[in-house]
Amino acid sequence: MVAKFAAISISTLLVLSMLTYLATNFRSPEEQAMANLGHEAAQEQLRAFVQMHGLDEHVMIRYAKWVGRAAVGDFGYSNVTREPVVVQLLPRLVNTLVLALSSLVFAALVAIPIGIAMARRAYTGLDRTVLTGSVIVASLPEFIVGVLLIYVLSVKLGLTPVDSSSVSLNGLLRAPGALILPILTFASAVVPYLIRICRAGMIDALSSASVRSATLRGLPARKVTYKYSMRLVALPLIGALSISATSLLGGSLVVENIFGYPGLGQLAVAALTSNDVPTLQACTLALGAMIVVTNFVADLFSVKFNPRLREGRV
Amino acid sequence: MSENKLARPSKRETLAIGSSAVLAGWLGLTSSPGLAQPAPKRGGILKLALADASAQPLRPNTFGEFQSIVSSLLWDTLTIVDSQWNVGPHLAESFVANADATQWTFTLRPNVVFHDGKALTTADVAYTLGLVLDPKYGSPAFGALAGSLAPSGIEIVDERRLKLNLKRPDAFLPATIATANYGILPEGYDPTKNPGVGTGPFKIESWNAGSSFRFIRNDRYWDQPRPYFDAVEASVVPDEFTKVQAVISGAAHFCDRLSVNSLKLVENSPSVALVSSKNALVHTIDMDLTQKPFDDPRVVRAMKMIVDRQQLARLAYRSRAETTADVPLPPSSRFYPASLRDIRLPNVKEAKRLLAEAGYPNGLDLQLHTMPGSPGMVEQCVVFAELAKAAGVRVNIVQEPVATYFEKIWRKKPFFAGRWSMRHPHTLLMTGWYSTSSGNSSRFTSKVTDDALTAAAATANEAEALRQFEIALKDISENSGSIIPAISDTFFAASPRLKDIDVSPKLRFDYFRNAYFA
Repeated sequence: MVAKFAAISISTLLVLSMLTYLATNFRSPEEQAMANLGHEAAQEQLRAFVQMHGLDEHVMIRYAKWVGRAAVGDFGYSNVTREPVVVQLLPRLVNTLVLALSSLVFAALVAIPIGIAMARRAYTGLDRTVLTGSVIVASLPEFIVGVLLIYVLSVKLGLTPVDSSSVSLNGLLRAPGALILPILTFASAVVPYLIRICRAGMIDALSSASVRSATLRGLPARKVTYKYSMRLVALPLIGALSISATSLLGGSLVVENIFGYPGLGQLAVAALTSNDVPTLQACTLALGAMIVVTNFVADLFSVKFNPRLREGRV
Repeated sequence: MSENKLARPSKRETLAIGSSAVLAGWLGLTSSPGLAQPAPKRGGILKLALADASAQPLRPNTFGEFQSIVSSLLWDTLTIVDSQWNVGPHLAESFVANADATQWTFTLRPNVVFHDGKALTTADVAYTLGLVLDPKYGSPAFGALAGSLAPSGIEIVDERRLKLNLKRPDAFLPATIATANYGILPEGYDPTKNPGVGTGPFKIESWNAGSSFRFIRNDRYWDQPRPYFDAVEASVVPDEFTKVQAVISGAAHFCDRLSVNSLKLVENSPSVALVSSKNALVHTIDMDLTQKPFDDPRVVRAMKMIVDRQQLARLAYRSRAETTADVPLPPSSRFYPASLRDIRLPNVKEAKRLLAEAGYPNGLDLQLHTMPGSPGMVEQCVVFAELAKAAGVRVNIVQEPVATYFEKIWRKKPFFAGRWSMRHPHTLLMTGWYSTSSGNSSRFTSKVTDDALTAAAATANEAEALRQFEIALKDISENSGSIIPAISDTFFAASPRLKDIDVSPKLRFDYFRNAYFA
């Protein structure tokens, strides 16, 4: 089963690599040179750029060379900084992982207790209020939430830094406050979803035969909820967390740019606007790989919690 | 700037910089005229919020405001210019041309050292110019310099004197090499081993490409008592709202270019000042003279007649622009001829007559390609399209993505918008309107303009140079395919504590050279 998941993941990454490479090489060699050197570049400069970067070779030959090097972590040199792409990529990847994981943990710590609480008060006025509120929050785009948080928490109340640039200047460990607004922004996108999943799963669990029998046996409500019911909620929750993690990783392109957070999303957008194709390719592949790995881990957990999946029966 | 004659050296004086009178005049430019000003205070950490997130190399030779600001903090150029393109000494304490401006001799000032303690010599200057002239290096300054100088023309006389033997006369060379792209690097510079080493007012403490940097004062800087700040910290904040809020909240003291959408926010905030760079951007509407319908000069003349420039400047730029007569210079420039100061008024009747004569009695249907590349670029096209209706010219605006605009649209479609950052007038005209230039967007070929620009660079006489400029500019105004209704400003937000910032458009980006905290 693990081998099967691994094979699927690797195939997905290969397809992603080809799509990424082809999508970032739609320009002719001269157009790519002009994109990097500016529209005032002289013909000699454009020709030299094409030769230096091997752009005169067929795109599939270039892809084959690139994917072979990428497999061992060599993404070539940035067209802009002319330094190895991996030198910029690795610290940013760590920053994005830290932000995404922190946001996911925060979101889970907020959403799961609320979901459980609302399941136990299902269809009451409080439950309906919370659900309506979560729909409103979920419908706000991340950039609106981010801007609102900056305005209220930073500008008006002075509680947090306006942006996360201190992470770059001082390092992540010495600038934890710079993570507050991005985490809150990310959380606004996934907390409503997690609340609904947890609530729905818990309602189903509380009405299941095993939980009812535990209740009838006189077990305390807390034990019934957290020991018996949570086991049944675990599977849908793992799926929801996996989807949320994917959403957070994709959302990094917006959130990191709003706050100037030095992560992979900011690097990807910067590479896109400066036509730094090697860096853009590396960022896309790295983000894609993180999503594939997230799903792989989620699949492994799903198999653990659902024995029927182990036997290939659903 | 001072109007003192000494403060604006004539061409002859520029060609012989070194006389104490001119140097005194130049020094006069850098101090305020009139009342005595208190000396700037030293101290404080300048904090910048910059939007350009593209990771930049530690080399003074790429475009992008972020990189250019970095360049001005770490590296110095041989010469320096003011907002009217008067040239003065910088790392070169003097520069002299021969009689026909085919050879320039630069003498370096003594006792200048790089951040690592190495003394500045002509070998470093030769190395830097050689890099700019290497097509593989990818410097945006290549085109402007390679027209005049070949690598073989760089001649080291001794440790302080360097001769540049030119391919053609170029009296404007000292102004050309004053831009941020010509920061002098130490010989053999390797940014991976010795990042950011220059002779500039600051040196690197930390550098995170595309993300942040921290530079500290260079205590051995040759131009004491500058710099006035103890350090400069910059963070990349791509989102404009966040960037502006950083200045409003006091987390930063300065942020780079604003779009028109942020102007009201900054103007209405008491804790931040709006700083404008006058006449910084030239937005053109270009007609490709080799493609229909613009291969007919009558159509081109008609199109130039339909624009109400004052109205366009008011609507597209909210009056923060100077109207001009289809030339890439504002009337306030000393190179702008008096004969063009009467900005042409629209003449719709004559335009219709010309179009009918050219075979378009029912007007024209055109597609105008543009991109949201800089404040006002799209707006100018939209207003133009509205104004053109009166002449029966129906313009459909096609907004293209910025990332692919210059490869796919510019100089390929018959009718498109263009954009130029203000630079030395001769460099700008040579790049954008000289017949064989790859930047000639409307494919305008004119021996009159070519000869005039060549002659302007070949003369030591300022009056003669201005006369040649007049010939070229009149020809461009009347016959080129460029519609240039106005030259617009760009804007920045700054803390009111920050004094003496200079954001005049000189492609030097040395905004903070004289700046200090009040």
